[in-house]
Amino acid sequence: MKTFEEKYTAWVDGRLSGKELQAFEQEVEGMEAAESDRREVHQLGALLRSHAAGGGLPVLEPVVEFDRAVLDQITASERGWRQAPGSWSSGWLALAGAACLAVAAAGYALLVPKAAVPVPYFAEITSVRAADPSIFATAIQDPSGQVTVLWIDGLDYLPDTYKLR
Amino acid sequence: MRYFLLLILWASLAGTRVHGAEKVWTAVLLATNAAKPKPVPPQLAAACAGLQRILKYNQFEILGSTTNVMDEREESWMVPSDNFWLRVKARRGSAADGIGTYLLDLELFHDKRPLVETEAKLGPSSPLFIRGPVHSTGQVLIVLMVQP
Repeated sequence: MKTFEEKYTAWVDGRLSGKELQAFEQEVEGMEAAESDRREVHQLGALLRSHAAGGGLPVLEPVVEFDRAVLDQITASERGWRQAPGSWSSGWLALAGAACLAVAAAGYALLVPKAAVPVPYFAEITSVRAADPSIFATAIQDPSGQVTVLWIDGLDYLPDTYKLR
Repeated sequence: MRYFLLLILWASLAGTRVHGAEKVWTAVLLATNAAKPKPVPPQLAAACAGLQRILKYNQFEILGSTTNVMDEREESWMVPSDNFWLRVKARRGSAADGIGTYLLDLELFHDKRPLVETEAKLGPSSPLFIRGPVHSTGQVLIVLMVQP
């Protein structure tokens, strides 16, 4: 036994006949939506048939070696994808190398004092501690003369017999 | 590409080493008065006038000298002569002290006898003199200088 939906689809498609058609039309009598559906399906079918017969629709023909062309494109893109990381990293490595050189050159220029630039004199004695109570040490500074002397007193005199080596 | 990167690394390290390769030069001097003084050693040319004014000598001769490369990790011994030694511990000064300035912990020995211990800040090419004992021939001086 057919369900209502099966009968409805067959009725819209025009596949009901005889007593079955009469019975179903009595069943849907007064249902405007059902009649409207049936009318639109018939109009669409007629439209498609008329255009197909008159050449209104383009004739689709299979592209020659379509599959092979698609596969070739996929293979080429995969090959490019595999090569890309290598060439990309080489570029970055070259860029990093150039950056390192630039940093090294800048650091050298900034941090290494140039011989031609006169360096101001700076010497400062911050603390002194004599190892022996008989020794006295004093700091004498003369920045204008570029001299700083740690002056030690109390040391033994070195006679002629003492050879300075 | 690898060799290129190694070259860059080497160049960077070499640049760092150039900057960190300051040396300490030390010498034992004999200051005397001479009728015809000998030319002052080139390392002391800038300080010669000041030395003459303070010490009242007109001739400065180098009896012995030595040069050590700075090593901030450990102390070193400097032996410019057989009689006078220095124990030196050097560390780089702060930016406020000036570029190339070193903080030096020094201990002076005379024939193995410790004389004095001192801390000093030295800029590059700025000599520090230590007036040592008087010898029958003149005044003994010890000089230290950071060489850039």
